[in-house]
Amino acid sequence: MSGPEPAASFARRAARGEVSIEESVAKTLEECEKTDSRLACFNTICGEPALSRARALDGLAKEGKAAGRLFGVPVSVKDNICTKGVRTTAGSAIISDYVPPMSATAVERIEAEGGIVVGKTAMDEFGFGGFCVNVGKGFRVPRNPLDEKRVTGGSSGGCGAVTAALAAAGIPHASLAESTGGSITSPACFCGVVGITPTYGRVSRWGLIDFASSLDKIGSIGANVEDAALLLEAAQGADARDMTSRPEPAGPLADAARGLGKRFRLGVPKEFFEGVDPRVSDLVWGAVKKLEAEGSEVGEVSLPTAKYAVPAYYLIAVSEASTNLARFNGTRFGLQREPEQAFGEYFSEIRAEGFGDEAKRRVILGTFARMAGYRGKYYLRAMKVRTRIIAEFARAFEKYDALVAPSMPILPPTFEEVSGLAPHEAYALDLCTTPPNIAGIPHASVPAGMAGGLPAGAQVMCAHLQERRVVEVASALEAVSK
Amino acid sequence: MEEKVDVGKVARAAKVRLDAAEAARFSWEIEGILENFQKLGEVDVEGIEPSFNPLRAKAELREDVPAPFDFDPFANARFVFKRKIVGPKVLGE
Amino acid sequence: MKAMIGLETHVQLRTATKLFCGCTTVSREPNDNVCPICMGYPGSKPALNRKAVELGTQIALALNCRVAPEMWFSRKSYFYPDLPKGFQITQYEVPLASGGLAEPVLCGKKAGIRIRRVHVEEDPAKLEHEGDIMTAARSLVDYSRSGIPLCEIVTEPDFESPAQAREYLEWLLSLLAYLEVIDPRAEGVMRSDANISLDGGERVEIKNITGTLMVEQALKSELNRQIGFANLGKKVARETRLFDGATGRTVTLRKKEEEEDYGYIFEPDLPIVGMDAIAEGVGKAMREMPEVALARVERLGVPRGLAHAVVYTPGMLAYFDECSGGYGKPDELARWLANDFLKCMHWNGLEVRDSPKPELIVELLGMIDSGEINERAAKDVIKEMFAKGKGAREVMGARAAGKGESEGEVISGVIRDNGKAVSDFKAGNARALQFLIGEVMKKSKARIDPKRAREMLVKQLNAGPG
Repeated sequence: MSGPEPAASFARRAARGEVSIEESVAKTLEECEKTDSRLACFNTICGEPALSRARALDGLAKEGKAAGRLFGVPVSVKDNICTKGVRTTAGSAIISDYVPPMSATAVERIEAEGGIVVGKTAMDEFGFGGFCVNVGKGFRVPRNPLDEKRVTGGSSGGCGAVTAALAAAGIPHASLAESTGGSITSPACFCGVVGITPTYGRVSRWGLIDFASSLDKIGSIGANVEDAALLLEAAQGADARDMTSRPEPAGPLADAARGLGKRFRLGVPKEFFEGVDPRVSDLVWGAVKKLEAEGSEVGEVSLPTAKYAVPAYYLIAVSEASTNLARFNGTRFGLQREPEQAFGEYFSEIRAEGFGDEAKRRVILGTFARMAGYRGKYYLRAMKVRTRIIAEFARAFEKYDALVAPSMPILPPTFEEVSGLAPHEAYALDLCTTPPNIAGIPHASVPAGMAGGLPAGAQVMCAHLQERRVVEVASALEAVSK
Repeated sequence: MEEKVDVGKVARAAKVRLDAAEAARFSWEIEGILENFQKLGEVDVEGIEPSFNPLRAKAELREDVPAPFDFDPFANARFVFKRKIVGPKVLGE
Repeated sequence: MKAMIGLETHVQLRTATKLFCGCTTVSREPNDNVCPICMGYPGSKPALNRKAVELGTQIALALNCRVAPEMWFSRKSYFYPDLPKGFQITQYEVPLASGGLAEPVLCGKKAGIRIRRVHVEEDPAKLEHEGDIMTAARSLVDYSRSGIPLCEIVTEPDFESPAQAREYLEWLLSLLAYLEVIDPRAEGVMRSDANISLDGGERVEIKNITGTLMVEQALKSELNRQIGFANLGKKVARETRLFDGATGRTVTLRKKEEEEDYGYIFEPDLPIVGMDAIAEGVGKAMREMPEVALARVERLGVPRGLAHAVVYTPGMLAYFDECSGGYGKPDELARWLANDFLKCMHWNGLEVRDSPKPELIVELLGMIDSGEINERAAKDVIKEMFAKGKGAREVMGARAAGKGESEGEVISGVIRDNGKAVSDFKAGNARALQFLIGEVMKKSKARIDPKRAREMLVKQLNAGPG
């Protein structure tokens, strides 16, 4: 894939007034509409607001006042990230008409850099899924642009699909995505694009509709490592409105994608290869071997607790999610009826009506996992297992700059294959993505080559706050996998 | 090891109404999930502190200075009466 | 039979903004100080108020508690129409402070009440019912109260009688008012849950009792009920009850087996808060405890009643101390502060901090001591000092300029010279009073303000013969 012009270079040209942003956005919107009718990847396309913003930016460029790393760059935003005045649904019928009074900090920062929000992308309801088939009632299931019989991956499925489709059409664009347990890596991998999930707290969560607050991370999806890094660079940084945001200085990232030729100490965690489709393992190992041939050191490493990441992750995630979703009670916003019954009945009815199956399942499971008598065994134990996983990663990073593993254990499955999975079988496919997510370490998924016309992904994981290193290694992998 | 879950009771606590078919299906699915999660018991967590967040953060507390938020609190509400949000009653069926 | 009584008391902390958002703590109409955070909107996150933590720490230190080196917040989950997020952010496993001891004098005896824990939490919204709670078709929610910072103070079951419990709450209220960590005039400033058991019997909790007196009434009534049970050989059931002020009885709210499971989890939107620096800062700035101050002021020769007023009037102790620096008769000083000064302050709706500066009061008292002014005149002068914000000499100087006539003389003169208007006024003609006020203004060259003139005229006219 030769791909479109890098977003950074497009932004520089746009700022110099060399392109009409209005024309470019109009063309992007047209392509979005076309893509959406084929792939169902948008919940909302922001036609008029995007065009009027484009005109305003053209004006700035004419006056020579243009500035911003994303000047004129079309950005799509996962639909659980609030956009002031633009419907934000988190893919759920319970807030399908919710218009937030504020934008997420990440969106504000992207707009401050000249980015233009062109649409809100499809997702599993509240992020509850790995394939983007668990969309809320009344929402459409997005399809993989590489093969429409296959899933996009999830939960940021719309982000992955839009990024791949626009890249194929030669349109510069990047997508603001979000991961709780693999929701950036999965669609990036299945759609053959790049996804970066930063350290927990690197991007403010203000304005993100919570799934699991101690796991949720806003990140980016791009056609290539540099685009994804650029968007993340614009969105990151401390924010007083999110007390869990990281205070450490957040430096440039996109330029790290251009400094190739570096050598790394790479660890390959063996637990991440257990039960993985051999076609995927071979491609990931192939990429690692190429880096070794270029001078990187490669060693095998063991993270024995990583295989417990799936249950630990799910127990933390559903416990927190079941409290985060308690605010949806049919008053103030979202789905509302004339409340005629007593509160217990009214809340139970409206939530039954507004939540889809997976949301109900997770709310019930999460309520159970924190009940008196079970809380220690499930919720608290999972939090302790998290401590061990974090410690094992930290030990590995004493020896290695980065760990490289498969992104997803399988090639993009068909809708039919996915529909036959019991919930616990679907959860088990998160084996590669839950360890870095539960530990909150930064990681990226880059295409590692094709098997039978389907993309496999390689996942790069680094120590907390080492986003720059993630970008460097990811670019090196990207270069050898082309 | 099996974990028996009274899904009806938990769903009532979670305020999600389930019909009989849903309750039966969820029971089966949730017990399947928990059965798989039992392996968490194999991890030795003796003396290990829980990590409530992946990283420790130094809390920067907010100063006590008013910062009113300019918005219409009724814009998303369907039922409003005399500037109050209408909610369900507290007693009765 | 021995009663064991414990109290969980909630007080509203005196902050400008709510616990987790920048909304103010005052409201003029429903939902006028709300934001996405305190209304529980999707996408909002809490931002913890430093002042609330500091005030909670102050309370903890005043109650001799151990402040935790690190504290966390938890989510207490339950559904109710007044709870916007479906959980309350409170503290569960690791509260702000624990293991304290309060030693008030209760029922004439110095008590030792162990403080189990002190923590901060948010208040839910205010719920109204259309008509009556029993028959209302719907509830109405005002989120103005949602997120107001509360401090919960939990005692061990160390009270032996309802009277002790009441006296403790009175003591606590005045302590917290003295520390200025609460606003004693705020609506519903203090609410308590009381638990009571008899001789190792089951514990009954009485929820949400307002103020201090009602707590004693509720406990007395519940104690009698439990004694009655004991006399009949019946067992008291462990349950939660409500006190109905109208009937003076407690009624069952829920049985033990109906107790809600709050499914506590750690609040993942807030980091763990390191308390060492905060506790150290608050500790350093901590004022002497009121009992200590009281003893100190008494040692200066101030009678107990006056000393009490000086210590417990918010801001007055510091004011007293500042005046004492320039004036050698503490008892005389306290007498003025506790009487005329306080009266003038209330009359003008002021607080100690916006009253005339300490040096001006010292000057006035010095003038009395030197015979420059007599005590009766001084009482008038202090009133004007408050009304006009001027010093005693300035007030006196202005008066001397006014033909040497005092306020009283001007008023008497006007009444004497305007017989017709006076009789009209007495006959009920209100406009006659306006005329008389005008005359006073003229004669005093507007030194006496109209409000004051009206007051003095009415007083003299009503006191006068006929």
